[in-house]
Amino acid sequence: MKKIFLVGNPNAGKSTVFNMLTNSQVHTGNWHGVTVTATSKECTLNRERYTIYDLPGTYDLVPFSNEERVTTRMILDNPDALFVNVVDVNNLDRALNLVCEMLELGVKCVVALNFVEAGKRRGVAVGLEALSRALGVPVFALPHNKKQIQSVFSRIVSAKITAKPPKYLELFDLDKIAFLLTPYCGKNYLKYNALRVREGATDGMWECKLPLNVLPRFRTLELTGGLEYVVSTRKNFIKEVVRESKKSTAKTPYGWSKLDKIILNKYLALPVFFAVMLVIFYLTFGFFGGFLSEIAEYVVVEILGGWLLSLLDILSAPAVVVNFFENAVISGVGSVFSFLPQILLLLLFLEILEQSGYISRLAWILEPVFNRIGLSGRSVFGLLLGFGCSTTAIPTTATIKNDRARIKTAILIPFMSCSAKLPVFSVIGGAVFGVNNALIIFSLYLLGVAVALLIALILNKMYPTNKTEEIVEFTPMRVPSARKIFSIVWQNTRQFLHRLVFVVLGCTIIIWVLDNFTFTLKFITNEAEVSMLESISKFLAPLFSPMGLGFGAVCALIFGLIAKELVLSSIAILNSVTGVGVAASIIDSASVVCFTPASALAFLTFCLLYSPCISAISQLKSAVGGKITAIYLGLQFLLAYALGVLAYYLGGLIESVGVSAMCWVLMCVVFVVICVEIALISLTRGRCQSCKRCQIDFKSK
Amino acid sequence: MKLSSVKSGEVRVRSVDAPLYFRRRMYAYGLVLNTKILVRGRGVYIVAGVMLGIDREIADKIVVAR
Repeated sequence: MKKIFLVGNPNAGKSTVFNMLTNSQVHTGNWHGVTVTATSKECTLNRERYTIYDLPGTYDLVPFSNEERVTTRMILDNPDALFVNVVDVNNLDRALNLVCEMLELGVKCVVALNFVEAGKRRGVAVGLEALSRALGVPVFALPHNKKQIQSVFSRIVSAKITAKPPKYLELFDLDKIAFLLTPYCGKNYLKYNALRVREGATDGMWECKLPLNVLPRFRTLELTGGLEYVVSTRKNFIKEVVRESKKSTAKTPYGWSKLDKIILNKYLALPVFFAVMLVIFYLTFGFFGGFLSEIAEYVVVEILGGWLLSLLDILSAPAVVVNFFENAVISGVGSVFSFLPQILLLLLFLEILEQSGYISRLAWILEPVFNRIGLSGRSVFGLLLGFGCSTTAIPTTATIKNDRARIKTAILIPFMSCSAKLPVFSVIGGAVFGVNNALIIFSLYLLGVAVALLIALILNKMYPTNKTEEIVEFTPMRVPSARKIFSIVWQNTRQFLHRLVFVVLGCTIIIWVLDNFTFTLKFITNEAEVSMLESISKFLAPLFSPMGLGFGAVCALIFGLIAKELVLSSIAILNSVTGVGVAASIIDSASVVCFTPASALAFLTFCLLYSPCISAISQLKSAVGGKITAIYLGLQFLLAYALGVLAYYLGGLIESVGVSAMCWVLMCVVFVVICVEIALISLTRGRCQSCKRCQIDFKSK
Repeated sequence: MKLSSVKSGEVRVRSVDAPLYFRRRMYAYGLVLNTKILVRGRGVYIVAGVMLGIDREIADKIVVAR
């Protein structure tokens, strides 16, 4: 099958084109480095099957980070494939640098201009024919419509495309270098490596084992100018191409927005960030999100659940079937489903941040702060997305160039409270702390951040990170379209329902079976019989008794390892909750799972900090390796356990002052901890600025 | 003078005082010789018509002239 690769600079719109072309739902965002690995899907163009590849964006073919390495490898390993270079017309000069580098390698390449309409609005117009003539490759304009994009790609595949090297390449004498390199590297990598030698260095060579005695032979070729000569020749060519094909009357620089005066202001930047986050959390967890959740709970548990039970009653279903639907389906799944509006609201706000272009500015604002704790400004992408889902947030760390900063970011992400933990906090907090629940939820989110900061500080002392170069391209501020917002909401709803049906419902059935059958597979009809789940949980319960947790809570935590949503559904099943009232049953002393304020606090703290779900663990393993993941999970359990026990005793001490005062005291404690950490961070200087011994880590390899 | 010492106005790149690997990337970002840089604020620059955030350590390596 023929292959088509989408390549280009970061944020040129490759993934959006890929989605439209293949009817996919690949994650897109208005910041650099959204795509971190090659994604492929088949599609039909002109009645022929093609595999379309969406590659991570890069500025240059010599990779600086892992995701850029993927792109370079794909280009070098597929010399006969067709490469569609997606180019942002507003940033033509820079994008053509990559186009020229690809043409120098002799790959079959076409240019697809993106954001043409947006360019016209700014006063940037590019003549397709003039650009095609000057570059020597076919040039197409990409429309923002699915059908039209497919028709453009049909034209692309039917166009006569030849690998035509640019004229200036003759000046580089690459043939002589390639002749000397032939015995030491593969045919596909010959031109690439010859260019690196022409630039004057062998450190960027690709899979080439060059013996030391060969190096003097290159000197006999009398290659003058080195990198600067190669770059200036290429740039002169690009300048000529742009002069012939582009007309611009744009008055503002690309990426500039009036809001930047506030967002990037050195005094206002951080307060604006905190205000934005506060508004997001207030709307999600406050009145608005709570109101939507109540509606969802009423519709699913009361109305639909009521109909289902009436139907079973009419059909005179056996007791075991009624018990299953009542406890496993309505209580277990329904209790989780009711939080769909709040989860969607949080993910929606995070998406709006991503699409608006604010997130790239945030990386820049937080860069000096993050540098002090051994992270990179780009860590903010992953940490912020971690509030949504750790599984999707961890892969974004691939864009961080420094390995230590990348690993540190990946292991800090699970401390950001993900959206799946929200139902647990809301229900248990609501049941035990009543109207003060918002304070508890806010405190828990702050606690996650406080623990992450503390770990970052400790790790930075133990394994300091050398500062890496950081250049951030500010993406243009955009108002996300209603269609895009709807598409994101729909996509997240589908993912949530998919998870609800295949993970939560599946596991809920297992929990129900374990809770309602003995080891001899006999359905439990009287309280004297002991279920399988009770036996297992009672075995582990003594371990959690210092946190004041009974076997029911322990059981919920065990299932939380599979997916955090299962914590709540387990509690609902174990408490045999019927109808609206998971929260009420939690404080009911007759229930299996019942909490005191102190034990609830310990439970929530442990739930916040203990191991992430299985899918997040697997992403962590691929990001940082098996050994680090294993050590990390062990330490994370110990930390969660220690803080859980501490929360239990702290809660016990201040329980006497009343629940309301207790919540305020706890929030103040977490707030003070964060303030102390911020003070410590401000006292810590960035590694390069303080010691002067280390160099900028241009490239550690 | 170093780019980091420029507080405002327009300058042109004279050289990038860094190892080859790093220079190559700077050039890919558009910071080639004679490129016009408009200093917008602390660490924020407009390079060839595009807004870039360049940190102090890198700005120290870029030699510019008015």
